[in-house]
Amino acid sequence: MTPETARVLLHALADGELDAASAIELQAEIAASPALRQELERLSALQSSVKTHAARFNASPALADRLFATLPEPQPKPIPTGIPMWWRSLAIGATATSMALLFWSLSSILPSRNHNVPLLEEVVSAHVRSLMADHLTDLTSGERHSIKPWLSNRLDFSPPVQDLASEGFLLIGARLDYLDGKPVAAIVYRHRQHIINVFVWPSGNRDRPIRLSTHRGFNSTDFDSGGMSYWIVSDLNADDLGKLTTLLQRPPT
Amino acid sequence: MSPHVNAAYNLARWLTRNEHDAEDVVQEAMLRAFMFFDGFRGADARSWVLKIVRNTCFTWLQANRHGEVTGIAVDELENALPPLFCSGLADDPEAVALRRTTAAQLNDAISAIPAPFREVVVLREMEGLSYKEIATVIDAPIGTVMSRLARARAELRRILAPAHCAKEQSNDT
Repeated sequence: MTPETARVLLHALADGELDAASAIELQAEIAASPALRQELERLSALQSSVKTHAARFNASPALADRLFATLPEPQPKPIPTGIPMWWRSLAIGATATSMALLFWSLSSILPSRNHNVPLLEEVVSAHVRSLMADHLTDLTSGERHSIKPWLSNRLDFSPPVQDLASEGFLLIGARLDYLDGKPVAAIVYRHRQHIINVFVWPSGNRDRPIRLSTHRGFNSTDFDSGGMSYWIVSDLNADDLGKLTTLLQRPPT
Repeated sequence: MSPHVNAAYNLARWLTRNEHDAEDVVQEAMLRAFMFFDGFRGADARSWVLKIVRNTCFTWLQANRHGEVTGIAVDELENALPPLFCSGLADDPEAVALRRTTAAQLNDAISAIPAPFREVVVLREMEGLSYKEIATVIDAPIGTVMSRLARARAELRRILAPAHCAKEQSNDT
């Protein structure tokens, strides 16, 4: 490893992005080089300053409103009155055609494998609401032994809560939500900056394998196990979401 | 895609360095994102939205701020890193200076570095994107993401702790 390469790889090491083999090789270089140790020290000094001080600007509520107002909505424009009848019927025809086109293009967005679209929509909406309304968790805790009793005291079932921090999924809390006409448990995990909502409720369904769906840019997985329905939704990529789902389905022993 | 509005705005705000321009860029980018939504087949909606915001920003910068650097010549990356000094001190003065940086100094420094460096800092340190996700957003290989982050941080160090670089350089000669 050249010194120049080692210095660039230090960044990947500090960012937790280095593969295990390169990390071991680089650690050996660092151990042998006071200059690299110092470089790493400066890097972590800079990173901690950036993390503490860098401004993260949030969109103003006015901008958010403006965005929602400008984004196209599937609504026909009102037809002005005072227009000759034949012209008006033509306009109605045109509106109907554009509506049909719009619905056709919207439906083409949805992958064909979405069997349970109404529930998927509900789950994704619940996820989006939890992020937008600043109401992600009712109980903020990374401790499964406090989350589990909190949930079972408020619901008529006791959802399984797992600590998956060692797998990179941090438990950050829980909340009560309402899906499919019943109160459900929402257990919230974080993976890097991605928030993941795990919705659980007793459905009495037979065990069913994991299914992956995509809706409005969010990935969702769902399965049934032990009479409980699980729906997991996030903007996380499908691979990592699949990994979490497998862990939830088959708890590590 | 609405939960990504804050991430989109933050990136645009840092790249345009202006509140109103950032709002205009985000609005345009979100409309484009919506229009091209059926072209989206990827798994990670946030990277995809940020990619559109980023490209809209760079187009906007090129059109409205002719002086701004939006591209980097490859050879510039070759001598990317600042000289490596080894003081051998336990309390390295540069590390101490970097830790004592105030918020104003730090934010000014981030504003001062060229846009292609600024964006990787914003995406990594503020939005917490992985190298792979950043590679998607800036449409470059992961190796480029890594070297650009290294260069961006070197630039920040140069701005935030210039005294130490200069002093060590003079000691060195």
